[in-house]
Amino acid sequence: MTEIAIAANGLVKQYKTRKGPITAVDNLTLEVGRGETFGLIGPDGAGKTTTTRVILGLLSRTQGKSSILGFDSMHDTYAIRERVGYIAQQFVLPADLTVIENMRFFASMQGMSQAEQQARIPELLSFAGLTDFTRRLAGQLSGGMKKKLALACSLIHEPQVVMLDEPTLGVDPVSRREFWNLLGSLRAEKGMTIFVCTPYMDEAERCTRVGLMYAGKLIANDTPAKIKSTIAGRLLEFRQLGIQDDQ
Amino acid sequence: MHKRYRRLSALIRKETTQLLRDRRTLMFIIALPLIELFLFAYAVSLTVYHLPTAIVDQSHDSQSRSFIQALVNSQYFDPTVSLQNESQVIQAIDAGQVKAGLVIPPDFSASIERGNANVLILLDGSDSFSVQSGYSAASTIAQSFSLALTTQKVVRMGSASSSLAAAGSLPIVTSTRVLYNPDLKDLWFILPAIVGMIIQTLAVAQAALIVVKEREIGTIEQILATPVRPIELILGKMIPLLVIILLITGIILGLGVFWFGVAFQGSLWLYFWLALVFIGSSLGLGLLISTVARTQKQAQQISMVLMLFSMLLSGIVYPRNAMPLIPQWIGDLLPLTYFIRISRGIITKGVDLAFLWQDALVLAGYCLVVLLVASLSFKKRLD
Repeated sequence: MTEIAIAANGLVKQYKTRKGPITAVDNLTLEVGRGETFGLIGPDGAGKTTTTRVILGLLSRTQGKSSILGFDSMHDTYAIRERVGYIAQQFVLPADLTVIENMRFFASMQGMSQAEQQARIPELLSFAGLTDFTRRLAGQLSGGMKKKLALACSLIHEPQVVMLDEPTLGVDPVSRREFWNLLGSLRAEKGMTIFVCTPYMDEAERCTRVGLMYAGKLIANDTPAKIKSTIAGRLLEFRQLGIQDDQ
Repeated sequence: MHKRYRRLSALIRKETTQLLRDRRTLMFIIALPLIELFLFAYAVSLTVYHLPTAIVDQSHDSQSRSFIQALVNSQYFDPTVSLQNESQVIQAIDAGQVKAGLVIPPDFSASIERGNANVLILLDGSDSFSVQSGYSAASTIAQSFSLALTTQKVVRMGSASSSLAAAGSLPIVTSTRVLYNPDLKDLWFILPAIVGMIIQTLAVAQAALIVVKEREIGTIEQILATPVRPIELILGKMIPLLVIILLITGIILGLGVFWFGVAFQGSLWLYFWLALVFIGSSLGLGLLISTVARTQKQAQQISMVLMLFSMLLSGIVYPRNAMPLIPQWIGDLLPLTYFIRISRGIITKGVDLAFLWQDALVLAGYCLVVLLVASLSFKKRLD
């Protein structure tokens, strides 16, 4: 690990409710080096989404420090947003815009010129396999294609870091594998730092390092193999015949 | 700076595309103001014509009959029953058979000759609009009727030129004097206010909805993850709305002038600029609602309450100076209150800024303050 891309130190996030504060992220410390693929895994409600949003500056933090590429999440929010790509957990691209309109919109939001867009968009469309669907409304795409469109939009400004919040939620196994192959090529070709939240153990195995989150705390942080070896017992996995894993 | 401009134009393009693509909402935005306009203009007329009237004519001569005929000709009164005395008329009003009653005393002709004619008009007080229209119609008719009589009397005495001087000693003197709207056309009075109310209702609701909708369906999260600044987000949403509402204002004014025949007395150019400021203030008010409302339904409900307040307190129908202080203060918080005076000033009276500068200034200040507060409460984060 040479340079640090993402850092959190003693990060705390509390939500205020009528019954008093709820701690969603509890004293979390982690570091992700440049070029790493870091998987944050844990059950629903563990605080993965909140952690991601706070590090990105989409939510305010209660205590501690967090930064991306040396920019503080709270104070240098715009510097972070110019350099980081993000996919939210739910599909939240404007559903009533077409694929190409979405791409152009997010490109312009990153301040790209027409010329830059014309060079970049066809490349991303073919990368995501959406070249034939440019005129389709985003809301009418299949689940897998929506995620690919979200990925393409988040990569439009050639970010150095991408943060993906459960990117394969509600996506069929074949599309999931395709999606992860896209991520693999990003890391290999561009040396991109990838931060991904997932509840799936098989996806975590594709990461270079894994953080295990439970009830707001990071309870383990190591390579996937080592994490697996610390868990007693055997991991049982049910698979449908005919769907091959390509590892 | 370049990037700012690119983001803003991308946001405006996005909102415009979405607005034009959402046919149902677009229909709603365009059709609703027109329906409101026609409803107000045709159905909710303030003047009540053809009041069923009981007639008690105890004089039974040509003078009394021509007075009754004048009332009938005015179309305000329809004689439906003929009765004997005042108490029968009151009974008929109590029973709901008639809305008005006219009692002409036995010495009517004689007292006209003497110059102190007196007729009794009874009106159903439980229906305030009937009372208002009936009263003003009857006194106007009485005035014109007695004026005609006086002239006749003067001619008979051989001094026609003194008819104007004789006006000071009319048999029945009324002090009704209507400025600007001599034919008592309600629409001349009500249309400038309706234009304002339709614009404010539309602007407040749409501004609140367009922001809350983005939050409710979650797309705001992906957009906030870009380097967009809050002020760009606000302007990106408000500029397309401003344009479409300005267009609708033009359509309504056009209908008012060419369809309903309301005379536009003042400067259209001045009206355009002040309407722009007014729409800006109303959009800002909608943005403030969006900071409180969590769902589109809530936003809609708050806008409806605001519309109700505007209907009652801004001076559309009920005069503001007749209100107690607290409703007046609430009315002061609505941009419509100021714009109604501007709108009536320009359309009906044809006055210019020299008379309207105070309301224009307040409205401009209102617009700035509300937009400033709205953009400050707009955060770059989700919480």
